[in-house]
Amino acid sequence: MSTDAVFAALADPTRRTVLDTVAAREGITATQLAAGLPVTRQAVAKHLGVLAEAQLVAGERAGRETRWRATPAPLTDAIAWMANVGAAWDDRLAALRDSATPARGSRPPR
Amino acid sequence: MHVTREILLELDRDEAWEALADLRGWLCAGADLELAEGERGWLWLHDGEERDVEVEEVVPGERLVLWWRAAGDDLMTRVCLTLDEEDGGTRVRVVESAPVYAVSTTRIGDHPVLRYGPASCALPSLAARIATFA
Repeated sequence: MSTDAVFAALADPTRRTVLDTVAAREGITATQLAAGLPVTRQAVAKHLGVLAEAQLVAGERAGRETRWRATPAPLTDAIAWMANVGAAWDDRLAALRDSATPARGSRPPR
Repeated sequence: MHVTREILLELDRDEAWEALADLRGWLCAGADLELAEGERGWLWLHDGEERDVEVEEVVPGERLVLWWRAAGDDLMTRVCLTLDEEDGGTRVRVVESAPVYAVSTTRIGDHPVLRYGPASCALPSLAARIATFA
């Protein structure tokens, strides 16, 4: 599994919500997922495709729909922890830069 | 397992340290913590979360190491912030590490809940897989 693919997949907050929901509701379909999220079914299907490519979810055809499950949940938990902590530090370090640089007047004008 | 992030500040080492050590300027909305080795205290993050903090090491201009956890959380993680001067400024690197693994997911109602445990709780096969990310 590519770590880059995993982190790229988890970089998007909507995708993390999709993954959390799939982990909580095994067998959920893209249509059911879209019903609970402020995005279209097509967007959900796209997110599921990225997550599947990173091997974070797997789908199984059931008639006209695909049922999704998280794979494997414990590994997903560990990666989700890393993604969440990493996102929090991205924000904090940006705040550090913003707090530190205006005093010097070194930030280029917007 | 651990997470690493870094940023380059257009400041010299002393200026970068001054900004870093002023935790209220960037890390938190409020603090009751003295930055000295062995000190314990609290930080209130911008999202309102309260963190119980212990200071492991303070080397002005070089390194600040904290242990923290959310109030009521069993999981304490280590935060190591280091400064390295280089062309164009000072690089701030943070490594947050957890000495435990998330070992499983359970559910309370519709909400997934993570269970944590020491590394020894993880199945060897799982530990090996997680270790590739550690």
